[in-house]
Amino acid sequence: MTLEKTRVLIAKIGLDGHDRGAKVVARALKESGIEVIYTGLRSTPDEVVRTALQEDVDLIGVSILSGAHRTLIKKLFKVFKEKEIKDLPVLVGGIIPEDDYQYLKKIGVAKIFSTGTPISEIVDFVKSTTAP
Amino acid sequence: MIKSSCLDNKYRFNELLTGILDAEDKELGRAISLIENRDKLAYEILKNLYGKFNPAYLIGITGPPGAGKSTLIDSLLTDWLKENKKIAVIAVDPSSQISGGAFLGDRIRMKNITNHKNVFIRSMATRGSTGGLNPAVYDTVILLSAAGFDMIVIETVGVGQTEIDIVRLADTSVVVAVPEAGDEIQIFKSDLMEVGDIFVLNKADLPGAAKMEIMINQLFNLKSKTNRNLDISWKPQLVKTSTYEKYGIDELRNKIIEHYNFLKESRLFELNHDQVIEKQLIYLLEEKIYTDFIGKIRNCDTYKQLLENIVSGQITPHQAADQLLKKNLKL
Ligand SMILES: Nc1nc2c(ncn2[C@@H]2O[C@H](COP(=O)(O)OP(=O)(O)OP(=O)(O)O)[C@@H](O)[C@H]2O)c(=O)[nH]1
Ligand SMILES: [Mg+2]
Repeated sequence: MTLEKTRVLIAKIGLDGHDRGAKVVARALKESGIEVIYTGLRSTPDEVVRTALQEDVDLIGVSILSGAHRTLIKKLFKVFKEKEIKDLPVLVGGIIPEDDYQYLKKIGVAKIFSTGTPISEIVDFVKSTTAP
Repeated sequence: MIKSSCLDNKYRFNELLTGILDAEDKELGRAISLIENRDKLAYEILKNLYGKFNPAYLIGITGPPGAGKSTLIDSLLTDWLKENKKIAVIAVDPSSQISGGAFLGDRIRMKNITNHKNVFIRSMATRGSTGGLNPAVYDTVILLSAAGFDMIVIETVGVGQTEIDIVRLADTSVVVAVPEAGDEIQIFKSDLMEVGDIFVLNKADLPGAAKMEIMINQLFNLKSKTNRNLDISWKPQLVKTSTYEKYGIDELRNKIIEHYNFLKESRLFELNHDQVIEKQLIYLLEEKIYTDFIGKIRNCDTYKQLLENIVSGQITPHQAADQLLKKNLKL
């Protein structure tokens, strides 16, 4: 048995108070053999980046339901730049209008999963993205 | 999950080492992963750190799932950090026996301290360790001590062997219990009652706290932990806390300081650190014997032959084990 594990951070950025979706994804990832760090509600982009570094994760999944995804994700990548972080894929999930997909991808998001995406699709994507 | 090979190109070794000594989030985070993965590079790092630092003060916080351990750590540290101390938290949670994955959610309850510049938090799953503490915890403690942390708080869920190991590792062991309904108090059945230096009755705002307090105190009156060699003793103490109603936290902090002073004055602090080193040595031997020695034995023909002999009823497993050891072990 190998001791190496994929580590993923699931974070909620912004002020909305719902994390059922994030928890369902976290659970599914755990069941697929991944170590999932979950930080609960209302993290800031700074917190997310610091946590990702301390926990040395291979991928960040951000859930946003508040509608403020454009500003928040932009801020997240600004902190990435400050900390000189490259090669750390970011997934975004939640209520994201399709009109915003292009913008989010342009600023660096690897993949967007809107609410209603089958969980298995998310798990598969995470596994293939983090495969060694 | 960083491989040593790609680390060679991307981060030169010295850069990594400097980052660790400066307690940078990125380098510490990486180094802990290398330790967890038993990567060769981790041993190189540790070799460069060994013997060059003062040991940090280790506080173990253990107790049943959901007792409020993480919430307590958050409250405790919030004030301690005002004294400009550098504090690290290692939050250990079980890996799933089935998938090997883990849900590491202790940070949910540590929101007040996550942003503090002097705090480093790492969530750790138990991974392969069969009972007992993940050996990676020992090396991580060395790493964090070398990075200049004054204090390291280790949260573990009190189940099975882990709870006893964490008590051996920690200088001060805090056992967290909660009020329980009924006459059968679960925590009394666990070994936890035998090993704590300080007991916390958390969620004291809940019904049943008063009764539980009486019962725990009765138990304490029966015994005090004595160290025969040094002829000194520490009587376990009980503190009632509620992180909801915000009381008992100051008292808990004072009790921890009291225990720290007791350890320092009695020289138990140094003694404990020597014992931890021995414990780690034993762990490493066990791990190496398992992977190197047993792994090799299982591949040899005698082993296969003996196994068949057991199956066919010619010898007992005990005889086979003795024969294999006699044949392979030269001391
Ligand atoms: N009533 C009451 N609830 C509390 C108190 N302290 C914590 N809790 C609640 O207890 C639950 C568990 O708290 P945690 O701090 O996550 O407990 P834990 O022991 O770290 O849990 P695990 O790490 O999952 O074993 C949370 O819902 C807390 O809000 C308290 O003093 N009183
Ligand atoms: Mg916890």
